[in-house]
Amino acid sequence: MASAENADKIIRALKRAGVNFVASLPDASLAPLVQGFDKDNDIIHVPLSREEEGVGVCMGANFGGKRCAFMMQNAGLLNTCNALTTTARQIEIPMLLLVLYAGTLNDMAFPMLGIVTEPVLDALEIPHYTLNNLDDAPALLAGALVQAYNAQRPVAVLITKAVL
Amino acid sequence: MKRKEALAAVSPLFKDTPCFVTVGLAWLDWNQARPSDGNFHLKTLGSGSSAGLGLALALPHRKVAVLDGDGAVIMNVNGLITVGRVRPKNLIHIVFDNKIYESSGCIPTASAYNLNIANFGRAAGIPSVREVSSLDDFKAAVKNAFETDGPHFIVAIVEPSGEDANTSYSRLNEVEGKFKFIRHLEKIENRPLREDSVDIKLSIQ
Repeated sequence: MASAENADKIIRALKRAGVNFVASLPDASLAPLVQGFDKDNDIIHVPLSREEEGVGVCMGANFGGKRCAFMMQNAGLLNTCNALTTTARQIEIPMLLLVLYAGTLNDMAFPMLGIVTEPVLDALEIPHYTLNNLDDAPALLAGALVQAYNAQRPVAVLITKAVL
Repeated sequence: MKRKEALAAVSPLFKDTPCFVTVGLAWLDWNQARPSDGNFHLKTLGSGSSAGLGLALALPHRKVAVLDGDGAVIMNVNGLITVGRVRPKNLIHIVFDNKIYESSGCIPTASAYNLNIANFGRAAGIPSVREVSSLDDFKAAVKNAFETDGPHFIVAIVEPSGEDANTSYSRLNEVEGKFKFIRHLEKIENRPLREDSVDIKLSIQ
C-alpha cells in the first residue's frame, strides 16, 4: 500500500531539484503523490484528464520559466507518444517523466505494459532509469533533471510500486 | 466571415500577447496579421489548449492566447476539460470552426455534422464561452476576452479559406521558433525565463 510518508520523500527530492510545476494523472499507487502535490504551495499542480495533454502543458510552463515534472502510469506514457515525438523531442523541451512502472518485476498487473515500456522509451530516444529504492530518489530525480536540461529532452524515471 | 479577415480585424487587440497557433495554415494567416516572435507554431495537433494552459499558469499576470481550429480542438477535448477544471483567468482560446480539416485534404470534421464545439467548452465548465459567426460579434468577443477575466473560449464559425488560402509554407525550424518565442517572453516580462541547464551539483548531493 502506497504511503504518504514515502510520497513526501519523493516530493521533497523533487523540490530540492527545483521542480515547481507538475502535471499528473493518478494511479492507486500514485494517489499519495497526487494528494501531496495538491497540498504543496510551492508546486503548481495540474490534474489532467488524458496524458497527452501533459506534454503541451509542460511545454507552456517551461516557456514561462518553470521546471516541470509529468507523472503518469506507463499506460499513460503510451498515450503520449505522438506529443513526446512531435512536441517534446522535435521542439526540444526538457521535462522529468515520473512513470509508474506497472507490469515490471514482481508486479502481477499489466504484464504487456511492463514488457513494452522500456523499448518504447528507447525508440523515442528518451533516457530512462528505474527507481527501485526510495533512498536513491534524491540523486536519481535530480540527476534525471540535470540530464533532461543537458540533453534538451524528457528523461524518465520509472517508479516501481515497491518504492511507493 | 473568413479566418484571414477575422484575424486581421482583431490583431491590434493582441499587442505583444504571446500566442500559440495550431498546426496548419492558420499560422500563415496569423503571421500576416500580426508578425511577431510572440507567435509560436505548434507541432502536435490539438496541443493548443494544453500549451496555453501551461503558459497561463506560469505567467498568471499576463493574457495568453491560443488560435485553434475545429479539427485540432476535437483531437484534444481533454485540454478543454482541464481548462474548465483549473480555470486560468488569463487564458483566451479562440477556435476557428470551418468544419473541415482544411490543411489535411478538406475532409469534413464532426462539426460539419452534429457537433457543437462551444457546447463542449460549456460542458467542460469554462465560464466564458461565446459562439460567433459575424465579424462584429467576433471583434466584440475578443475585445471582451482581453478586458475581462476568463478563461475565455470563443468559437468563430468561418467559411473555408478556399482560393484565398495561403500556401507559401516556409518551414521555420521548431527549435529556432522556441528560442524566438522565449526571447519574446523574456522581453515583455523583463526577466530571464529560460534555463540552459540545471546545476550538476544537484545530482551529486
